[in-house]
Amino acid sequence: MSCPSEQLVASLDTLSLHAFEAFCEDIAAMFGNTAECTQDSAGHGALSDLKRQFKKLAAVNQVQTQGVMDGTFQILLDQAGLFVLAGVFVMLPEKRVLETIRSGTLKDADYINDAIKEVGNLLVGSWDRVFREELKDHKHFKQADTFVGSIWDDPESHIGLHAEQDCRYVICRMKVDEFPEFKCAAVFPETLFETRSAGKSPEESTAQEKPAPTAETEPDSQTPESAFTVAGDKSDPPAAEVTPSVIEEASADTPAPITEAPPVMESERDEPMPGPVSEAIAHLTRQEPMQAESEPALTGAKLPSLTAAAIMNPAVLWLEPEQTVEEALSQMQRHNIGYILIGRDGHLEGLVSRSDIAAAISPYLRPVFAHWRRPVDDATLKIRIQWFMSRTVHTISPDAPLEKIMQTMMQHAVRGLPVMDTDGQILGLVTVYEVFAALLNRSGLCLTGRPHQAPPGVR
Amino acid sequence: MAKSLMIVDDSATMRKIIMRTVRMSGLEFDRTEEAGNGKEALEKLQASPVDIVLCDINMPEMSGTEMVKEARKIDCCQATKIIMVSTESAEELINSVMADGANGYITKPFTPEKFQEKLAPFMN
Repeated sequence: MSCPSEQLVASLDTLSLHAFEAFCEDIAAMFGNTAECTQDSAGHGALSDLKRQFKKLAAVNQVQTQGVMDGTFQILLDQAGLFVLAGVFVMLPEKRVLETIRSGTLKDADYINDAIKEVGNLLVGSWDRVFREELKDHKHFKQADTFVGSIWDDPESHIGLHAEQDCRYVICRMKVDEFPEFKCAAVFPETLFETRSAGKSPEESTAQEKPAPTAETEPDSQTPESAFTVAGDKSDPPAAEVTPSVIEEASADTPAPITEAPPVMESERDEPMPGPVSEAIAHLTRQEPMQAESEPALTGAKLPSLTAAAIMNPAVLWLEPEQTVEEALSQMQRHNIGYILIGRDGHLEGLVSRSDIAAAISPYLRPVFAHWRRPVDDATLKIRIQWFMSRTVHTISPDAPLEKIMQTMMQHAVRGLPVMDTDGQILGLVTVYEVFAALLNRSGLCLTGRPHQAPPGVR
Repeated sequence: MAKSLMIVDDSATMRKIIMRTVRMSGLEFDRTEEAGNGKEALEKLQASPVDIVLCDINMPEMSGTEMVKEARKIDCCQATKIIMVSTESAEELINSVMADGANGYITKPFTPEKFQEKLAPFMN
């Protein structure tokens, strides 16, 4: 019968915490973020007992280890962790990271799969360095594979461990910048320690006993445990549970891909607070009854023929979600426009505005980049539009009267409305500038030319 | 005199991170190239040599260590400075790849200062 190396097992908690801390330091050094971690809990039990902590999407880095441990162990990041860290790597806008923490799908993760793997690469490098410095006879950690998805439908296929596999684990909480705290964990199958026979040196054990690959190893029937035996379980305080519970309620275990979720029409859109333009619309709307006699041009009743179809700009510009900030910025500058529709084959998936572009480059306003800040940066310009476009797009029907257009803009605090017919075809775009032009023309004021900045559509 | 740079990494994300960090270091290059593995890098180097190569180690098709060995057999790459960039920090690996012809080794996490320190000697 084999037995674990007590000394190795006893040091795993400390080593794992040090390794996660080293990773935080590495993140801070490379990207200028603040990152810190604390131990949450440690113990041993069945893999499935981790389900509560990592029930949604997770990134699982499989780490091949040589030396005092031979085999494979796993380093896990929960859904918030994988999106926060990958977002840091590719400098996603904070708004987009927060969206994916709440309701990110497998498809969202797939878009940044390369970044998630690089997070794992840096993570394994940090772990290797700490173990090399602190654990005698440690030889090497190597990132073998990275799984991203929900583990629990088939853990053996996904991460090489079956649900009831006996494991030792260390769970830590990590916090990066002002993003919500997330969980990360190291999971060591008990089979990793079985070659450490009592009284043998690591060299002797390594030379004489090679365990079978973890994924092919049968569970240790002698030490099954139905529940984790938690050492120093530091259960989350109520306040710390707020964010994770929100995450769990906000997204399903198997969320639908983005493409299957059409843009939400006529509902809440994540827009900044109304600015002067919206206030002007509000003023116009509020003043309608009072000005009915003196300002007939501003009343809905006096404008029956001014529909969305009549005032819209039919020449709208489209880009596909995979196109970049650079392309969107270029098109906006070239055509002097404020909005671009995002989708393909006429199917509307989102809307990008100049303020979205501003959000995309906002990371460069962080003080840490002040030394090196440049007007434009290639890395930012290569971000795909899909990461910062507004997915909830309010549309208006072609026969909607001017009053309805203004009310919709006011209600949702938006300044541009794509005009969509009953077949879902986009016919054009109405923005506040079309509304102003219609009102001015109707009141007898001649409108010539277009505003120099941020007009809608393409003439 | 301005120099040229090639970044070799199988991850497009990491190539961009490296490029961004190099720019933050203040080093100026008049031409930058990218390659996804050692084989592609060698092909590009033979077509159009560069002054400095920043090269990952673990890559598909041809690793960074293999690329260094092959590059040193090619005339047009003899003067090219090859700096390895990797999370691998094992001393034996670093010694091995330096013996094979690498000119420097940068371990992750890297910083603009680290690139400045390692690349500046090759900029003149």
